[in-house]
Amino acid sequence: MIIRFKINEIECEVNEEKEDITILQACTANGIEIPRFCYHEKLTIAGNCRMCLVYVTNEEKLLAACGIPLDENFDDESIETEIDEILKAREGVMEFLLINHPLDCPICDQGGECDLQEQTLAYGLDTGRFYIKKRAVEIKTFGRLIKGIMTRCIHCTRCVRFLTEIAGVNELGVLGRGYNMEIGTYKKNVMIESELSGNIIDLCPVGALTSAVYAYKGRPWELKNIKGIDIFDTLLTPINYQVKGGEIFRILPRINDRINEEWITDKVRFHYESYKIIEKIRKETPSYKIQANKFIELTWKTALKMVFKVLLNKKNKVDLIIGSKINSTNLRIYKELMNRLGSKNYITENGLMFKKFNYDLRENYINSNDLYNVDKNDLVLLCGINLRVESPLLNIKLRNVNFGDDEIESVKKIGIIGNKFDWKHESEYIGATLNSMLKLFEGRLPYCQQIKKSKAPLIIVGPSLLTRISLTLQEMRAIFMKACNLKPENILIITQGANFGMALEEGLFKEKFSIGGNVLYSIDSNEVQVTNKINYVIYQGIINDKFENKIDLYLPSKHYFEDFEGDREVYMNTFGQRSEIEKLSISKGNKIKENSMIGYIQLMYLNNKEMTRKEKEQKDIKLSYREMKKEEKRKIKVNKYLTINNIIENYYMTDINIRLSKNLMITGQLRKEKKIMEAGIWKNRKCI
Amino acid sequence: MMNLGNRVKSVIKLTSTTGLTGKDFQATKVATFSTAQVQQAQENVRSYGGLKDKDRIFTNLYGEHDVYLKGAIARGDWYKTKNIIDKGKDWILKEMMASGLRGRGGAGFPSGLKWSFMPKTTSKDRPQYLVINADEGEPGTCKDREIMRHDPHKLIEGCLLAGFAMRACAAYIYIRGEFHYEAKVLEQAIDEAYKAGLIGENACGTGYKFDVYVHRGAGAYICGEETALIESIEGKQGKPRLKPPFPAMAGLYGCPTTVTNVETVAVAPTILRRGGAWFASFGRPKNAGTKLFCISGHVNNPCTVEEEMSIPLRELIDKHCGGVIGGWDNLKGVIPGGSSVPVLPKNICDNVLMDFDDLRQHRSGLGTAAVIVMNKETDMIAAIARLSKFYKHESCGQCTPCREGVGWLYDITDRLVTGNAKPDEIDSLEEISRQIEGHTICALGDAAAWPVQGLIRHFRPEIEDRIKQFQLNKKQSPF
Repeated sequence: MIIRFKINEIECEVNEEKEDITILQACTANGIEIPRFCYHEKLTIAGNCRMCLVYVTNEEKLLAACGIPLDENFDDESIETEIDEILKAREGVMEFLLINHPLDCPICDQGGECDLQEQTLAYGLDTGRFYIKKRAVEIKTFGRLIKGIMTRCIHCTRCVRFLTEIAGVNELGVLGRGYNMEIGTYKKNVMIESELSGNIIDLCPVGALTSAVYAYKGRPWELKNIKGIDIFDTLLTPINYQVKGGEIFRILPRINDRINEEWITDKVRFHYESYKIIEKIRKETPSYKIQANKFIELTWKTALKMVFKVLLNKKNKVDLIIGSKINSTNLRIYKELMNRLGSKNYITENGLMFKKFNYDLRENYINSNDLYNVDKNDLVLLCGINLRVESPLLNIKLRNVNFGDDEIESVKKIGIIGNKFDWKHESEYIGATLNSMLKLFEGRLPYCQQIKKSKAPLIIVGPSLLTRISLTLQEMRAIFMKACNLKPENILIITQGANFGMALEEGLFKEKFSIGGNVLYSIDSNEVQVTNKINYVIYQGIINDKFENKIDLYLPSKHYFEDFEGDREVYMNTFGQRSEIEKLSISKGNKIKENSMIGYIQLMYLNNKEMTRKEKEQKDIKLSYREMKKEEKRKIKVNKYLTINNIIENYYMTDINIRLSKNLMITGQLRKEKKIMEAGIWKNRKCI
Repeated sequence: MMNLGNRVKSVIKLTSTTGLTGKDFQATKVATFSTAQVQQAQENVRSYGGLKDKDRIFTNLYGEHDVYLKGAIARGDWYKTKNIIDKGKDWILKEMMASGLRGRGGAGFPSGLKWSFMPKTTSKDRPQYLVINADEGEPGTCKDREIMRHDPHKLIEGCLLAGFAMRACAAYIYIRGEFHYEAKVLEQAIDEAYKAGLIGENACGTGYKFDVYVHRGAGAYICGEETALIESIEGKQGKPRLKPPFPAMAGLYGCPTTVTNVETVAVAPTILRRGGAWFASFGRPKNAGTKLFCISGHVNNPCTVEEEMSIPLRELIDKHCGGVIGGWDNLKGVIPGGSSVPVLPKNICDNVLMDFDDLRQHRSGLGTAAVIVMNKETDMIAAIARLSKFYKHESCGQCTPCREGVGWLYDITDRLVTGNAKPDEIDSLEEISRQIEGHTICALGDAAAWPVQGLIRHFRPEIEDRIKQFQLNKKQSPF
């Protein structure tokens, strides 16, 4: 049925069968703004702020536009949003919200982007008549990351709804009732144990929940937005760096309904603290180790000469390890560099984990499905992946999947192989060892029948499984498709690292790679174990905490977001979606060079010197490429009793940038120790 | 006791022989009456009140007789319940609609209509529920507890019939936490009914399965609101839900649910036995039936009494309660329907009729028919301030106007008691109450605003005097 109605004399039509929209959505679609506090597109409707009241003909009372669906009762009705009655009601609600709001805007971090400020300006009264004592609520601690000045709270419950419905943790709730109602935790000073807790800062329409890291640092109108990506996740969530004067002040999500909706992880939200620390402690000139812990500074010219001295020495066997943040241009340059030197010992940091990988076809390393459709599946099997720490955003997307269809009633809709972790629904825990995985491949598990029955199953294969079975993804897919009658789009493969897919696109991978040479050339890669066999380490990057003592030659390079020509660079995520980043420069030392520039200089040097050698090498590479294709299919040989453990031990320790962010580190420590925090941790911080 | 039972039976015979159907009856009474005066001007209209003993529904209101099954059967409960059920769901709904019964919980929504809102088809996945609201927390009201402790079988039988009519599989009786004794009596009565095969599997031998559960509340006034009550049964915080969806579509555990008051359900069996027309013959049109009135306050004999609807307030007080303390002229005001309706001054009380429409005409309401009588000893401002304090304490805090506004109302009324306020605060008090009224999720906001509005409407000079007096005293004081 098509419903015809009027909003402020504008005639509108809604098809009831196709669209299920509320009055508020219809108004927004027709360009009529309705003020709201509690309503948020991604959350359930609470309807408790009463700011969105509208008048509908033939209705006794004013209606809350956010919660009333447009159905056949609205046919031939007219909705009024600008009549005096409504304006008066809004004034009334604004007055009520403000009587107990502290009005400390000058010292509030939300000032300038505060819904309450803006709506007071637009819909509020200009005078006050409340001169009695205001209600006060004590300051609450929700961990090192979030500051809770709950006196400012207007009880919209967005934070509670986000954490319980989307993030799946129940720490925050509504306590007390009536005039004494508060938002808080049941026990005092409890940390919100969610990887996505930072999002409640964005959701809060007032300054009740603000970032503890950004506290008293800046004002939104001073900050400039620069596009970036979440480099710690394979989804490459789009983010905005908010910058003032060459310093990152905070990081906010960019809205993208196909990837992250409106959320980002705590890791990326708060990791910017580390850039400041890095700036203080990093070396800004190339340096060479003459003794343990004693470096001499070099000029770039001598440094590069020393690099070539090592690289061109035929006795040396050079391994090139590239970090996970390096962009595709640099990947290409360094691959080319190694090829010209006649070596194929190059790999990315994340590639090291995988024993075998076939990167001939794109479908072997890039998922063909769209993340947007992930929540349409009716059965999910997680193989060797702890979604909660490995991909929190995909986790919340799957958590909100509606498994309500009664088609497969008796079936538990989620199966887990590998480490147990919290999940909203009751899940079936299949096993922790590879044995259960093999049974699944052979179709011997009862769960296989359930997969066959379901209409749109989804099997998510994580890195901890991939690193333990010597199967290429292609083979794995084929086995799954055969065992459970699946289509390629039913299998989702989650790898690690931001540039893994891009590296395979560039062909930067070597099978069964192990660091066997005596020279290690690391380009911004920290997560490598340096053995005693290696007697020379060149580290070209920002800062190193894992093998700092073993570095012989240090070449300072810039951060990944400074490291490209032009204004933009493109990264590609595990779904093949491309995200753009804009150039942002925060490094201050003028002797710090881009990785690409160092690479080009090296290539030019080789061009001049060894033209003849290059042609030879390229032939060799082509030959070996053919050899790779010919590889036979082998049977699966694994240790059956090997457990599929998480590859990530501590969520807050995975990257150098995170290890250097003080607050994230402490959060990780606290969560590890399961400590209830001492009162007022953030109060003791210097800034206050 | 036996006499009573026989009498009921004879009345059933009488009504069935008169041949007056509900339809005819409704057709004859369509005229509406603007005020009591107009109505009295039309000469042939009768006066109301003076309910005869043979027409009383609650024959053991004062606990003089046996409360449990034996006594109940002697009083005529559970008499041929099977026959009523056999007449079918539609007949029950038709008869309830013909009776003109309006919900006794306060809002006065036609019960037959409400029962018919439930979906006509049931599935296994979505059972339907009947929820009985026995969370009688309204200050001044004490009718449901009398039913539950002295006539529990009327309620249980009503549950069965109402539940059958709306295709419910079970009834949940949400009883107020403070009603410890009542809950015990009710539970014992339910046990008896189960043992006698009146409810449970094959209730009354009809093959219909019906369960009755008692759920005890924890003492929150807001849990008397139907959706908050549903939340409370589900084990959540008792906070009203946003409507729509209405409980008839998605209520208890997401299934279709009807929430009704104890009295509404308890009168249903008698209505069905004696016919809707019998019930509709009491009271003015659209305000049909008999009603339990709970009169408290400054009367000589506070009591709960069953009377005909549309009885004049003065007659109710004088006849059943022995008059106002100090005589009718000593009356200052009456709250006619529990704490959440505006107070009426004496001049209106003189000839107001106790029914939904006439009280509405005088900008008050019947509510739960809890008449709170206040004579001239009463400090009216302090009384309303106390009610405001109650609403401030009981507000759930979910929506803004109620959470912030009711606290503010109390703050001002509390200061008005001593007069410590500016004269223009009376206007702002009125305005604040208007800002709350109608803007909240549930009716608690309205309930909190109305007494204050009634106070300002009828007792404004008193408030102004109080403020003047305070200002004078302040000037005389050296500090």
